[in-house]
Amino acid sequence: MLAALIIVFREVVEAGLVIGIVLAATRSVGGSRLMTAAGIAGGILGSCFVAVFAGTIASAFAGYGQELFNAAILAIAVIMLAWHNTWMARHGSELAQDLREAGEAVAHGKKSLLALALVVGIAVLREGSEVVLFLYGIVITDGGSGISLLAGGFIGLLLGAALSALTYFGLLRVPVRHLFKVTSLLIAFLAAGMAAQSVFFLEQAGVIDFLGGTAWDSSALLSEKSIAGRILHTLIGYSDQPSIMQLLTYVATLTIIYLLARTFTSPGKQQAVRVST
Amino acid sequence: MLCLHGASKRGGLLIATTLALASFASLVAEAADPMTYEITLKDQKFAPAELKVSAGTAFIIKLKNENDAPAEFESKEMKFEKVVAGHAEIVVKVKALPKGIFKFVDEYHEDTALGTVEAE
Repeated sequence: MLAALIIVFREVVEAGLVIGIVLAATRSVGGSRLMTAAGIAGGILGSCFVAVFAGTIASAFAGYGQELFNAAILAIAVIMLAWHNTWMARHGSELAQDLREAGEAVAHGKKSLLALALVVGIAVLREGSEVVLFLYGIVITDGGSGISLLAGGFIGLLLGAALSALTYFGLLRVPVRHLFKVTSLLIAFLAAGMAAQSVFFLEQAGVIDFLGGTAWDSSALLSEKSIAGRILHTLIGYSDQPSIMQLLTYVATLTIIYLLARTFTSPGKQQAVRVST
Repeated sequence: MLCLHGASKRGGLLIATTLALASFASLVAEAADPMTYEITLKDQKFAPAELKVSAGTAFIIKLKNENDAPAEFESKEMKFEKVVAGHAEIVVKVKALPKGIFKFVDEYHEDTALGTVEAE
């Protein structure tokens, strides 16, 4: 039972953190909770779908369908996160301080919310399909005796949800005027990590075949597969043996998101920020 | 985002260098077809559970899952993690390994279903 609990929790950690951050980042945008819930529901539905077609996906593209599928959905998530951050740079301060503009911002915010709901859906989908397959495996091999394993899996899920709540309430302790900066930064790192992960899958599929040398090996120091390693992996994209290409992609993603946010920051916001600090 | 200030110029240069390097590297010819090793997973046992490969050469593992239940073929040390459905087959690419012994597992039964690759 404990083994099942740990396996499911490990898978859910990533989705839990992403959901917590998204909830905090969109706190003041109306309808954000509903959208996040829709993202979670869509992700779970998608998980079942992916689980059912796991065999088909895996055998697609000469046996590298799974890697390409993962790389593609991660790339989508990166674009959505970058878009959201750019939008936030433009409208974040209006939401926080300038109520006159808030109506318009919220109207635009719906699109940005949709982007983040998609990110939540993708995070749930990636980990969820493995959970579904794992639980399905328990049911068909262990039958009735699998009940305690299922219970373990369920507790693992609950713990994952608790982590999500912890992230959310932790972030709420950040003063509102800093919250946008903090969540923007978190989202930028989240995106950079996902971009590097996407490159990893492309390397596995043999699509990217250069700069594949290991940039460093810190697996003895902090394993990527330990719980702490996994949390860092999700939050800042920590990898204990990244390839040079992954590292470069990581830096490039951070840079691009930063430049986008700076380019699209409205002059009004910079003033507003100066006044408030 | 403000904390990233100052990194942008260097980052831009880095991107330019990366792109140049990348386009150059892609021109370099691809390696010959790598060696493929077949492993079967039945119940909670890999066969063969011990694989010998030559160090310093990339290779491919083809895993056949003969169980009804899906499995997740994973090796932290060899850097792969791939779901394999019941009665299905997958392939994973493994980069050239240094000399040593590397573990792999079915993550869903990682205490019982395990095996090793020995690179020599």
